[in-house]
Amino acid sequence: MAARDTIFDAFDRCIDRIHRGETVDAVLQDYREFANDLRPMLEAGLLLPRARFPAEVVSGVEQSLEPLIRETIAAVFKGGAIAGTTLLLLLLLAGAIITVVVVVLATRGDTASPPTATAAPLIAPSSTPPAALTRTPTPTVTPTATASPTAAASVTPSPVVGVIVIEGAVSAINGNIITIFDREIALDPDDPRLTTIQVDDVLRVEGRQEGVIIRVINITFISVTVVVEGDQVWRDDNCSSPPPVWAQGQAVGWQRRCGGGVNNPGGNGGGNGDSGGDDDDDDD
Amino acid sequence: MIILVLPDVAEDDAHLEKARRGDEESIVTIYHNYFDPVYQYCRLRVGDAHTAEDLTSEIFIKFIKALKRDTAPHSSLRGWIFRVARNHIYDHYGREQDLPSETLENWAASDADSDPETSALRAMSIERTRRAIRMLAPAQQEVLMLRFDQQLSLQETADIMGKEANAIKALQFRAVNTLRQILRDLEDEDN
Repeated sequence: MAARDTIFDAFDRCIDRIHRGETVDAVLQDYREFANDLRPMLEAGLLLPRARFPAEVVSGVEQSLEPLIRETIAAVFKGGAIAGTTLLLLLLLAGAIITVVVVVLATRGDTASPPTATAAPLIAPSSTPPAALTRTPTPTVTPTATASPTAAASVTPSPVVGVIVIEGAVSAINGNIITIFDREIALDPDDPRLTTIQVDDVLRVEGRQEGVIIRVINITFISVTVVVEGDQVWRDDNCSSPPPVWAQGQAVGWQRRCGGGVNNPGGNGGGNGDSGGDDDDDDD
Repeated sequence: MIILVLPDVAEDDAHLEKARRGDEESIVTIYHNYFDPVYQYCRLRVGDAHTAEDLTSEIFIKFIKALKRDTAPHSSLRGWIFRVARNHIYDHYGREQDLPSETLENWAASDADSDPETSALRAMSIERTRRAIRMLAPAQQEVLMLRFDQQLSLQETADIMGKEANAIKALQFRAVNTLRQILRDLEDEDN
């Protein structure tokens, strides 16, 4: 499939796969004809997220602007959508009542004069109700608007939904909990990567917030190549620790740095599913 | 440090549905979910913290008003918000896209850098990257921020920027290539 890809297509696919958590090395396995050109490009592109402003700073601004947002909601929606639908319902109700009364009076058919006398005042209010009807919901809307500034102070914990992505150096490891920028991240206690993660390793972690802890969905090693196969782990520490056969398909960096002799990555070493890595466990 | 929250589309749509009916907590939840990406986008493009703050709050106020006017989207909120953010920045600086290209504030190194030398090196590299981004043409800045920083898809980026997907492929390639050249030049200057 990659054979007919232009370098633009290949670059685009690589970006998507890296976003799904694959490493540059793993992705370039499928684009060997462009690998030399794409590697520095991808590495430069990956610098971009590192230019982001610190989360603490952004969070401070976010909190400081929240009262303004709540005030705006109150101002914009005061007598807005809720009053509008209530008004519509009441108008429909009034219309229904009028219809029923008219039908009842018509079926009675006793005297000609009383029906017209009662019908007139009944129809008249339905043209004035806007003022009367909108006034009814107002008392419930106004207190909400005035209550909002106090509510703002209590809603400090940001209700994070979705997937949180943290990238940074591991500052502490305690059992199955690793810490990155004071955020505690829980791995499965049986996760084989626990045996290889070290303090100062730069990781990209995708996870979900569960209370104060982030539960890992996916981990990518940024500063070092780590290959996991079942419960076996190989870590590219230095040239004296060559990759075992099952890791050779993804140990491109080690082969580039530490020289040949090992094998050609195009051989059968990568047959353990490395090229099938396009379906990460990032589904949910 | 990177802390990025990618939206959960189903949850997003559920909040949006309630927000459209004026539900305050749903609107505030959307605000919390999208504040970081919108602020980062504005601040990287604009540079000045106060302007970025003003622009971000104005973007969310536009969103609230759009909810009331029923012009807010029913889904794909992320794309919509970035489109509004992009247009709002252009409105602010004029259509000639005369965005400021200097005046970057000093980067405050993260507290997590215990080693001062590492901290200084990291700060310098971040500062250089940010300077390089700001030296790119506006369209190149945008495509890089949307694709690499915010991790939007090719099609989302194309929709936001009003271009064809193929044009975005070429643009992102050239943008990264230019970024590399600028980074190389800046590194030479610094050494």
